[in-house]
This record gives sequence, structure tokens and C-alpha cells, in this order.
Amino acid sequence: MGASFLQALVSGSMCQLRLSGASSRGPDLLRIVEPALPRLDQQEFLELDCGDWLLSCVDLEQLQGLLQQHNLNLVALHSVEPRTIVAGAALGFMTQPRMPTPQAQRQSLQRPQEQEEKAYLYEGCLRSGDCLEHGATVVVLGDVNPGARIHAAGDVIVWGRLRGIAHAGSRGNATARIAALQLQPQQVRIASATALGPGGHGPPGQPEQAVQRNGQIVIEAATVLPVHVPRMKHQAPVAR
Amino acid sequence: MAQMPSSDLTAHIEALKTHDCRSIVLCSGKGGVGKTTLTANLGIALAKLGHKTCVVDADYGLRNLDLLLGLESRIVFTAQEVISGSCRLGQALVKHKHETNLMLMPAGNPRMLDWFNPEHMRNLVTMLADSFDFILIDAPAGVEDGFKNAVAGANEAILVVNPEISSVRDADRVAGLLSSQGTFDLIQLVVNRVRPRMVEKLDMLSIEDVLDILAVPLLGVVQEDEQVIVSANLGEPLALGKSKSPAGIAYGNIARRIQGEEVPIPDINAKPEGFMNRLGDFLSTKII
Repeated sequence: MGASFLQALVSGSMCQLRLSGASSRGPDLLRIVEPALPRLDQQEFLELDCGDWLLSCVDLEQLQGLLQQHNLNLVALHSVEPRTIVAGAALGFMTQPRMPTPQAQRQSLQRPQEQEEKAYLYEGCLRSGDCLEHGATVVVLGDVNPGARIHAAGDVIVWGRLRGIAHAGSRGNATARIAALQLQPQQVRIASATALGPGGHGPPGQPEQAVQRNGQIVIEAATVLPVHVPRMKHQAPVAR
Repeated sequence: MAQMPSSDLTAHIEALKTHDCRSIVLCSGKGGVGKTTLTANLGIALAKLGHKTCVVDADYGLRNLDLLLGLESRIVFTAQEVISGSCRLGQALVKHKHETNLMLMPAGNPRMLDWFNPEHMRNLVTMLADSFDFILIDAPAGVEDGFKNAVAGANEAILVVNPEISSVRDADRVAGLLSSQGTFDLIQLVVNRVRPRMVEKLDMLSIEDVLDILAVPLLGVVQEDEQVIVSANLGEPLALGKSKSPAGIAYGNIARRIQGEEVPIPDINAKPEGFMNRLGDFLSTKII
């Protein structure tokens, strides 16, 4: 997937260009966007939805030039990525930062990108104040102590006790899950849903997982891992 | 003029290894948990066991290790002069009144905070390494520059923690910071100011609760003891053994464990009720 163009439906509303899938920059960006653009007879206003793409001022200027050739006047810009918003604002576009929203469509588009990054294997204890962020599944061999945080675009799997804050599907994947041998988190988040930890102990010896069902986070007995077992890489960098 | 050894990141570790010296930093993150008290008492206790020991006050902003040891009036030169080269190392070290094996490296004035950096601490430790068996570094509270300076010169650490949730959380953070440094051979835990009666009534975290979170090997347990305050005011640490007190004995036991002796840590929670038992406790089993 790359760029998709939505014609303005009502007169007065803006056309929309949506960027999705794997991010690209420079000449590649123009090559991806170009085929999606229609031939227009008259000047139209365009709103650009950058998704989570990281675009610099130069990228945006080049894109603007291309759009103008197609009679499109870029006026507004949405993005999940703050740096793109900053670049857009510097060029004088109307900008609107967005929370990564877990729309079903966007998820299916993001899925391939998540799988490009490999899962991280972190061996050791995550202590208070540690923050582990990764663009795919995170596996921790050890405890996650109160005050530690994990943000993973994929699943969070803890072979140990999870007593900190875990955020699975941090880029909007609502099917992500949080599994631990002992699930006693302070807070769990899956995509944009947030829930407090269960408080007490779960049944001893029973690994549990938190998943999102109908927008609610529920805790249940952990199931077998998904079919694709990701390749693992050692020692994720942890911000201390 | 003091000779300043040219020191890179590992020179002090090599110096510690060649002179068979152990440099231990006492840190907690949270303030008021008893780092300085423990440093003073372990210094005395290790000295009593015959080890040449140096206690280094790395809390430049709020120094009071000298107070607890009763050496405030004897300070002439400080770490500041040693590092600037205006006195020899031996001139700054203050020998303890009663324990001749114990020396204090006093902190300079609070303006040291502005210029003192981890390399200065490594240099200081490198200089101290050849004349001592143990260097105990009293770290300041917090995890900012002062803490980073204090831990830079150590190859072992003792985490001091009180059985309360904020102290445990801070110690957990400190443990993470220490292990991320990668220069520590050993990190151990001392649970300080435990009140067995409160633990019994589940009003206070038990030793097990603390260990459960921190997962750091336990070096010792010290009970809350009023004598600690009395001794601090007198400038005579309990470990000197002038009065038999549970905390003083606990400090002695920790020192023996540091030198490698196997001293069992009794279960502080298993305490029988009743006046006679309490009296019995007081006379015997309060010894930790």
C-alpha cells in the first residue's frame, strides 16, 4: 500500500490524500504518490493524511510541488508522527496531530509494517523508571517491576511477573495482547484502550493474558502463541 | 603536591584489583533511609574486624558523615584539596578516634557540586586503593549528578532500603541504573529500619515483600532502634559496641557478611506474642 486519493464528496469539502503502509521519503515518496493522483480540470483543496509517515520539510515541499502540477492545493495536514506535524507547521500548513486510532482499515494496512520489524527479546529485569519501546512484539525474560513501562507495536509477552505498565499494539493494533506468567500490571493498554490492573493475584501457576474484546480489556487464561513465531534479537536498548 | 594518576574509565577498577581493595558505594535513591548511618557503622565494624577501611563522604551538598563519626572538629583538608593538588592524600584523611583502622575522606564545601565529576571520584578511589582494604562511599540521595559521581568510583554497591513503598520503588530505580552501568561486580541489599511489630500486623512491608520486588541478594536486616539517634547525636556509631543494641549487632553482622563470613539472617517476622516472650526477645533473639 502507498497513497490513496479520496475525491471531495460534497462541494466545499476537501479532497484527501492518505499515505499508509511502509513509510518512504525523497524520490520514492513522489513515485508512490504520483500514480494515485487524478487529473483534475479545476483547482481543488487537498488535505493530506500522513498516517505515521515521517516527512521532512523538503519532502513536504517536493510533495506540494507535485500536487500543484495536478491542480491540487495542499492546505491541511494530519499526522500521528509529531515530527511530520512540526515540519508541516513550519511550511505554514494547517496541521492537526492525531492519536493513533485503531480503525479497522488502518490496522490491516499497518500489519505488514509491524511484521517487518523483528520481535525483541529482552533478558533481565525491567526496573522502575525503565522504558522499553519497540515497533514489534516484545518478549521479556524476567520481571517487569512496578514503575517500568513497555510500549510495543505488537504483543507484550513477559516470561515472569508483569507489575509495571504495558502497552501492546501501541500503533493501533487492537488485536495485540499482553501475556505474562503472573499478570499483575499497574495498568494495561491495548491500542487506545486503557485499563487498571486486576489488583489481586491471578490463579497461581496460570499464565494470563489481557486482550481487547469489544473495546474493553479483559483478562483471561493465556492461550498458545500465534502461529508466526517471530525471530528474535538480543538486548533491546532500554531507556533509563 | 598530590600525584594525579591519569585515569580512564577502568583505571580505578584495575587499581582496585591490583591492590585487592573493595570499593563499595552505599546508595538508596530516597533520602533519610540511613545511608550515612550505615556507612559510618559499617566503616567502624569493618575496621574492628581488622580491615583498613576508608569512608568517603560523597554527599557534598549535605555532608554529615563526619558528624556521625564524631570527627567534624578534626577535619583540616578535604577531598577538594586532594583533587586540586593542594595537599597530600594522607593530610586529608582523618583517622578515627577509637578505631585506628578507620579513616574518613571528608567532603569539601558544597561548591564541589559545581565542578566535581565522575573522573575526580575515579581518581580519588585510585589513590585510596593501595592503602585500604575497603572503601565505603556514602552516596547522596537522588539519582542526579551527585549520585553519578558517587557510583563512578565503586565496583560494588549496597542498596539501602526501608520497608516502605516509596523507598523500595526508588531503590528499584537505582538498582536498574547501577546494573545498566555494568561496572558492578556485586549489588546487595540492606533493609534498614524494620519494625517487626508493624510487619507482624501487616502494617509494614515484610523483608520478603521487599526482596520480591527488588530481587537483589540480601546482605542484612537492621531493626529500627532509638539508640541509632542517640549515637548519632553523640558522634559515636553503635558499631563501636559501647552499648549492646540490636542495630549495633546487626551492623557487625553485616560487616562479617561483607568479609565473606556466613552469618545467617534470622527471620525477623517469626515473633511470638506475649510479655514474657517479648522480654525474651529483648534479651536474646533481637540480635540480627
